[in-house]
Amino acid sequence: MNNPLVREIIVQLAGFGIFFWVLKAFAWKPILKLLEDRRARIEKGFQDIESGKKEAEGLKADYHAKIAKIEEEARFKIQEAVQEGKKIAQEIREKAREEANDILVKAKQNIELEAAKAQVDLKRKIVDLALSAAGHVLKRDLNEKRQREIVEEYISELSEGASK
Amino acid sequence: MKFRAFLVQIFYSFFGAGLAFASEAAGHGAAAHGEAAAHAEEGASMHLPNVINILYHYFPHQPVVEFLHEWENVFFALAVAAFLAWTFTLAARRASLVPSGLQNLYEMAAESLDNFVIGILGPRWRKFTPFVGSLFLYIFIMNFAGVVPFLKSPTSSFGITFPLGLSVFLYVQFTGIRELGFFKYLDHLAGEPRNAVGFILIPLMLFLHVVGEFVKPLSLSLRLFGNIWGEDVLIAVFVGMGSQMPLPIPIHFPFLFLALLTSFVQATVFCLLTTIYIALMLPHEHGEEGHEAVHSH
Repeated sequence: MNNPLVREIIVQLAGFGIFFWVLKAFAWKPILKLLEDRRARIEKGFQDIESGKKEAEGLKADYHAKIAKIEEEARFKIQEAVQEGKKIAQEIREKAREEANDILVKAKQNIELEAAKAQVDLKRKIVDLALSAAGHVLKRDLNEKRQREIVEEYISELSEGASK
Repeated sequence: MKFRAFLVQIFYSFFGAGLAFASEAAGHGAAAHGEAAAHAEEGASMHLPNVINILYHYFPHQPVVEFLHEWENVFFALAVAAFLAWTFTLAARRASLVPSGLQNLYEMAAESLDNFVIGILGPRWRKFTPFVGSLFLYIFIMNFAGVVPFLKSPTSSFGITFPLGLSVFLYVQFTGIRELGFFKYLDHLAGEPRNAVGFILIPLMLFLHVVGEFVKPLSLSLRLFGNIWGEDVLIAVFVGMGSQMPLPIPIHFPFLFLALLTSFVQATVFCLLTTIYIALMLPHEHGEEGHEAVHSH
């Protein structure tokens, strides 16, 4: 202890101890806080970037989902329109067919009517022809009304016979 | 960038220490012997006990101890360089994007030094941050080493501070030639003559500039050495006084805070002046305002 060098070392160690203790008590915390703040700031920066990235990815996924949904809807609407078109075409076709049938039926009826008319005309002409022929053959003067009845009777028989 | 800064740090530290070897070798021998004699006579000395002079006190004739004692300042300068290299390696080894611990501390230091250099030179010249930053950390730790028991401030020796100033001088001249080109560098030294008066004044301007350039390392190193040596002597004297009291009292402890402040301020001043010397050597058209501001100081 009497050695001046040892005493100097002791004094120096004690002084440094006090210096260290004071620094630890008063400067250590602010320095640590500074470092911690810096670390936290950097960490937050990275977290912000990460969350921004995630948000962007979420938005991208949303966007893709929405586009897919819109595309699906568009496809569905197109299909619907196609179905609708097909339905309308079918209806138009059926209506046309019905109209054609109606026209056909009417035409048939007209034809039948015309045929009936023609038959009646024909009958009248045949009767006339027959009467004139019969008048020539029989040289008999019959009452015209009676003659007509007889011929018509005859023709009816003929037509019945023909239909049998 | 970080890795490059680290390499520059190591290179610089060893370069500085190497130059210290050279200059110490020239004038240390006689001084060391004289110092030892004075130490023996005075008892309580102007130097604090450190690991090497304690060893020398107990084993004065051991060749290794004698060698260490002779190269004491260089040993501590190398120890500081090794400490910095080691801690930087530790900090960089488990580097993560979110820094913590030592990495966080060194990143903050690097960031502050980068802002310091950018603040003076502008963002274009941030490539000087590794040099100035390494200088700052190296000098600050060397200055502060005097406060830590069993260590010594190598910067309390002119043999250490002069090589530091010399390396700044060489780096500044090299930067001038690299950035300006050799002829523009000469033009700068000749005071950039553009008219008859300028040309007439070339010999005077050249002389002034050359002397000015050579004075810079001297002023840098003398300032650093003087301040740190003075601070160490102050602490040593008070340690001596405290140890001679009947009960040893560490009356020197308030000066340890002063030493902490001086260590920081002197390292800052050294780096500030280095940055300004670089700024003075850089092309004028880039950062004309900064240049003028520097001149006006």
